[in-house]
Formats: sequence, structure tokens, C-alpha cells
Amino acid sequence: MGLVRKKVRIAEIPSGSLADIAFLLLIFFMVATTIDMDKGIGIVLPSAQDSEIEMSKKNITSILIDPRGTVLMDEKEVSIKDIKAKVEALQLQNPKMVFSVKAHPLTKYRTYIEVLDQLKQAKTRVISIAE
Amino acid sequence: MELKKKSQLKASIPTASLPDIVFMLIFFFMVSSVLRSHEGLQILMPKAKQIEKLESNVHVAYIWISKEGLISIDGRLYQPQSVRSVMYEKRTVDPQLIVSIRADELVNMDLIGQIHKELRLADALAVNYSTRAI
Repeated sequence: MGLVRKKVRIAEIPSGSLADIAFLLLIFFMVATTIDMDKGIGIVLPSAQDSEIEMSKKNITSILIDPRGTVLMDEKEVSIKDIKAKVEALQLQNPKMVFSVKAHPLTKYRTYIEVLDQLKQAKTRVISIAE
Repeated sequence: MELKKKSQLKASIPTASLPDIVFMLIFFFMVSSVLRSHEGLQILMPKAKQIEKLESNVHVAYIWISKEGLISIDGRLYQPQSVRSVMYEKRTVDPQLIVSIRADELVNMDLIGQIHKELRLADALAVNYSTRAI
């Protein structure tokens, strides 16, 4: 009588498609992820304890914004898109120049940001926010 | 003369470790992605050209200001004068805090001025005005 060899059963999970599944998941995550970095205009406010610093008037350019969106730079009216060029010229003349931005309470935030944007475009070192 | 069979070279890239590599990539994306839904107010941010990216996403506190004058921090509405205490707490917990002001373009500057004052009193001085790119 011949002995019948017992069959060894091998149970295996097919792993051939594992990579496909993993890729699918990967693509899902890559598509669903939004790397939305916040962008904006950065400034540093003066500290509340800071006493007022005395500065010579010739080193300050005041920029006033009225509720209609008119901008006065050293008491002369300028259009917003010309601010950059004027500021650049002033900085060339006097590298120590500080720009003080003051907005009327009824000025729209949009106008204020436009003015700050122009100053930032002119690579202004010091922007002071007057209140 | 016997003909010799040419031996055929089989070149194959081992794919056994492919799932491991892909899983590693998945874990990277899962860990690095922040599923953050903005809880804020309905606003339209002003546009600007010279904008800079916020250095980190972690050390940021958002103040939402709608055109109706509502102020929201972390999904809760606040009066302008209570911004100080909220921000002071946040500032104490995280000294590197940057305050991102997400205000509607039609907000009046008096409200922004009040927020500035509150932030100065709370000693949260690094501010970023959130804008859209042109």
C-alpha cells in the first residue's frame, strides 16, 4: 500500500496588486491635499510700552489717506500707483527715510492695503502705522 | 556540429519592495498634510502684489473681520475690546505668534485701528494682512 503524501496547503494573500492599491491611495492624498500657504503683507506693530521716538522731520514722509481714497504724500496729492516711484526717489535721496501711514477712520481697508503694497514694492525699510 | 542555444538574459527590476516605498510616500503625505477647514467669516480679501508667504502654518492666529464689522477668532465672535485678552493668551502660549488679519476689503480703517491697538496691548506685534494675489 502506497502512502499518500499529504498535500501541504499554502494559503497566501495575493500581493501583486498591493502596489496598485497603495498608488491609488497616494494619488488620492496628493490630489486632496491643498498646500495653501497664507500670503499677505507683513508688518510689525510698535510695542505698547514704546514711548514716542523723536525723529527729525526731514526723515519722515507722512502719507495720509482720506475716506474717498485720495492719498496725500507730504501734503501733496498723489495717485496710488505713483507712490512706488515717489517713495523710491525719496529713499534714494535719504536712505533713513521713514514712511508714516495714517488712514482716516472711514477709509476702506482696501485702499490702505493698496498703499502698503506700493510701499512694500518700493522696498521700504521702515513703515510706521500712525493712529 | 551542435547548435548552442543562445542564453537569453532576463533583466527585471525587483518590484517586491515597491509597495513599501509607496506606503512610505503615503505616510509622508498623510502626516504632512493639514486638513484644515477655515472656520471664519464670509469675506473678500483685498488684492496686493508684493506679498510674502507666512513662514509657518503653526504659529499663526487668525482674526477674521467681515464687512459688517464682525470679528471672529477660532470660530467665535468677539467684541473689539475682547481681542486683547484672547490674543494675550495665545501670545503667552506661543511667543512666536503671528497674527494674520483676514479682513474684508470694505472694512473701515477705524475697526482695523482698534484691532491694532488691542494687538499692541496684547503684545502680539507681528501682523500679517492676508491678501489675494493680483
